[in-house]
Amino acid sequence: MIRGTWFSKWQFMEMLKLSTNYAMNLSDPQVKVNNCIPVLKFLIISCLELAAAVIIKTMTKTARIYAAAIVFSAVLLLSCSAQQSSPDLPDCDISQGPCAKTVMNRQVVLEISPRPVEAMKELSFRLTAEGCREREIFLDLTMPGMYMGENRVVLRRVRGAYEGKGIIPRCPSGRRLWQATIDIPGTGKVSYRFDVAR
Amino acid sequence: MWPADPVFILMFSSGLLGGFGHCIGMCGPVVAAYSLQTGERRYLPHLLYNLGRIFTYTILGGVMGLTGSFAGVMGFMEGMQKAVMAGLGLFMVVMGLGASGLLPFARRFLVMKIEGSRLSAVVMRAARFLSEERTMGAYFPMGLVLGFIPCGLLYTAFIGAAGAGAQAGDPVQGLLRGMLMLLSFGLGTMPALFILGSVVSHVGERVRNFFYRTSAIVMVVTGAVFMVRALA
Repeated sequence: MIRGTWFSKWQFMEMLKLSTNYAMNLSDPQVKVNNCIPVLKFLIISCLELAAAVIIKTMTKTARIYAAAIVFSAVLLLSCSAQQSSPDLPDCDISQGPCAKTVMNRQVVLEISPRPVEAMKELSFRLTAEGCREREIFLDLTMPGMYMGENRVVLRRVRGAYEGKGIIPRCPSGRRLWQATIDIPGTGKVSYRFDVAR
Repeated sequence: MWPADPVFILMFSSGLLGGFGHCIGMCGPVVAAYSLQTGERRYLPHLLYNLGRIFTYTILGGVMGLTGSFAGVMGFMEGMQKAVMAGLGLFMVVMGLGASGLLPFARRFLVMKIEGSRLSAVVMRAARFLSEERTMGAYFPMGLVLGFIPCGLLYTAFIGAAGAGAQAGDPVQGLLRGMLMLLSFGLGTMPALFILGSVVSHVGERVRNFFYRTSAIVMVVTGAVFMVRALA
């Protein structure tokens, strides 16, 4: 299995397949091929083969190819964690109207305007939280499955509700799922997952 | 003010986290593409490229802080970003073809199609620049231009800089704060991309050929996707 060209061909085809999966995940956010497990398998096999080649000490060229395969799969493994598809789906249609959730028997309603909610535009966030008396609370915007930095909107108390301005950035990969998380003192955390219109 | 201010530490850590979790996934092929042509020089090209990129971030951060308006500046920049993305897509397609050994064919194809026109000389020169080893002076300008690539993580940093500028009250304070915020962010993103580029440059010549003939397909497809997105 180690000697000869057969394994190299298999290795080449496997690298081709993993590269194609990577490109597919990158090109279309709706197509999600889980690449992590196949890449991990390929990495383990390549490590074992490299160890065998080193023990036998006769296949310098083959060992180099295995080493290249290890570097290749390590890079793909790093990137696949960033590309990892998220099982999260929207749990509210924020472009249609306010979204309501109940936390500890208290209703918390989030509204974003103007509608439809679009990325890269200044948005007004309005939160109504029963029983909350704080002067200001924070809303964190994150993208499930992809780190997009710290994007925090300060919501200040205005006539019984909390209001603030913020912007949802556009992800050039085409992903549109966002999550707004609000930590309400005395009530707990509440999250809303929604798609932006574009 | 800097580097003790928590907001700059937050920006740096955001860049650091995003560098390993976001940039390698999204920009890994871009870094791999230019790392193919670094030759024996293993660290300086990556340092220059990253400094160019961070310089662009810092200037844009200053503009965000000065105006205090993310949406306004981005509306103005959108066309330029699309042009950079389309250019980068073309760069990656040519690099991918070069790595796969198909570039001579691609060159012949280009010459055959546009033979006799003045355009062929421009295309040939561009193809030669992209496929051959560059001088050290090319990496800093390349970083400057590629700093304009549209990126969600970068947009978030810009939103922070614009917000800080709006709160600063004084435009000069806003400018300085925006610049320092994006400088901190850019420095945070540097280790991940620097390490990735250096590792690719370190791979031996023979292994690199094998390695990149395979991953060339990633570059060609990713470059094509970039071009389609930019022109959409």
